[in-house]
Amino acid sequence: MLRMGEMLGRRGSKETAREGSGSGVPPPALETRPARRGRRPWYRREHPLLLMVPTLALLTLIVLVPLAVVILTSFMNITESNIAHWLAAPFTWLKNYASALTGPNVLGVSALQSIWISLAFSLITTAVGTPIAFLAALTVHHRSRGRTAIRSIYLIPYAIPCFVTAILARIIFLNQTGLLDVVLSDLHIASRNTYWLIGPNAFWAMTITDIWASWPLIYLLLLAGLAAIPKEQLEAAIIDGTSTWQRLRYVVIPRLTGVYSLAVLLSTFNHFGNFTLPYVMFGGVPPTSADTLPVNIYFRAFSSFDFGVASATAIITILVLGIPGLIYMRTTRLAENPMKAA
Amino acid sequence: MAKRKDIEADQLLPRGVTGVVKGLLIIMVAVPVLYMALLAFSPNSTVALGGAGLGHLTSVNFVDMWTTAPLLRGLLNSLLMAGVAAVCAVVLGTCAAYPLARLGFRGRRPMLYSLLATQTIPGVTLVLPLFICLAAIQAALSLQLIGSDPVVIICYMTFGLPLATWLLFVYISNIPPELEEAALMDGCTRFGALRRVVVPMVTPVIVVSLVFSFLVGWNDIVFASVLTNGQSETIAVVMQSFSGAQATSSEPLYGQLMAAAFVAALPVVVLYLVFQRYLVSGLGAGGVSGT
Repeated sequence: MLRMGEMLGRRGSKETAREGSGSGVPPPALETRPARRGRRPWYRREHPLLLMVPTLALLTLIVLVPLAVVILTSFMNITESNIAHWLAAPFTWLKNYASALTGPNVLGVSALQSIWISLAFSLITTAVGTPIAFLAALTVHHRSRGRTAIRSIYLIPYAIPCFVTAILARIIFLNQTGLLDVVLSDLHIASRNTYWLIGPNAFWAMTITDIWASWPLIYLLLLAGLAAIPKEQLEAAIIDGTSTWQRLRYVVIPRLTGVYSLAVLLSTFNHFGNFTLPYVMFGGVPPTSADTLPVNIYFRAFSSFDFGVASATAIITILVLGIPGLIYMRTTRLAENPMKAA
Repeated sequence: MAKRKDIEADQLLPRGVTGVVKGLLIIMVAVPVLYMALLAFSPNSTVALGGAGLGHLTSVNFVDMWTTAPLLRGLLNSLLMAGVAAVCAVVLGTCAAYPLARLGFRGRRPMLYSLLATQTIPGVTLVLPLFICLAAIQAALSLQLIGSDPVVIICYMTFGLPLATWLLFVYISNIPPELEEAALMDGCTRFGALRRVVVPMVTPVIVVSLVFSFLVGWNDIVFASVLTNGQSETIAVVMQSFSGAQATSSEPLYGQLMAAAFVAALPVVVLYLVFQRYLVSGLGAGGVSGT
């Protein structure tokens, strides 16, 4: 096997095409079309691109068509009564956007308020989660007894399904009987009758829960970043008599900036799109302070059946996410470039 | 001497600080998880009063919960739908990833970017138009589509398919092409080369993609709550309504709820821990997004 591979490395493969393959065997990734085109009729030739057809068809059906539809319906007046024949629904153009941004949904929150809630939620969770993740990654980088066990423990909050985390959080934040109220009142920090699942506190309960559940994602990425730091650099720094803090400041952190920005972006996306946590944690009806954009869309559509306004809110969400989205794509392209060159 | 230096170079925080941070983090992770376990083994009445303790433990919750909520049906539905969707996503994803990784053709880059972009869109923004379309098709054909298993499975691939395709694309690109070239030289077709040479080499990645796609389906609630009905509801939806029902109940069954949550989480946590060493590379490939 290996020798065959070596042989191929030396010789061009074009001349050695065999009967039966039919496509003339182009060297992969270089040639775009069969070398001996036209010798066989098209139905006898091989068409490797056909392999993509099922995936492309399915993605068109479940992603592209829905995206086109949601753009269309965001300009239409669609309610429960005419959804079965929504193609005939009247166009109201930008009216849906106006009522989405300014008018409240059934929970009493407009899309504009939801944008701020979602932004605050995703930025705070990322900002607090990142230092935790960084410290966690630093503690398990070196080989020590029990490292595998600790790495597994660190992963648990992320591994627990979000709906389970939300239910657990609900029990912990329950008024009077929840763990938090019991502990806080025993420590004389807050009254045992503190409400966490309604009112403005709900936002913080949700944020704390999401920080708990999501820091391992950033931790995993940073751990991969740490593994990529050449050990020689750290050793050289040790020989130069640096302290641990200096090595951290001048060797480790500068080398983590790339993976760090990727981690921040990924985690911001995940928080921004998190529907499960507010929906499950507050028993299906989130309080106004926890009405993030996905929740807002959901209640506009499936509670008040105002599908046009819900579509407009969905488009607003996609636009808001578009900015970090473009940055994400640029970052990923940079990350995959060396691989492509190889 | 060399060995000592090795240890020092990897020690990124002073020893004492490392210990303190580790301890704090473990406490932070363990307290809620152990609390959940404690409640799962406590009688409902003591949990409702906030007085759960190690004094009276019982395993009765793990017996009673199956009749309180349709957990078994939820678990089986989740297994079926997330499982079938994951298998389909990986099979189709492998087929699509191969040309993307190996052939140059017009439209390749836009396709790759679309795969990434799909994963940044929140699920709600896609389930809404899917619902609108399905409602219209249902009315036109007088068929019941919403709530049927095949529809849910196809819609679940909204997450799984781009994810699996992207992961497999990244890994196949990283395999040297010489082995396939040898196979092609020997008269293998492209499809044969994919099946006989590439697939055996990326088997671990296929397993990882399978696991990831499965987990995305298992953890989903937004698609399931919109597109399933009583017969086809997944464990996430069952748990959500179980939890919601306790809020208005005079005798909330929080012990049973926690026991059920334990059962719903356990298989997933085990999968994660078994595959954790692949998680890093999968995440690094830029593929994984959450719920």
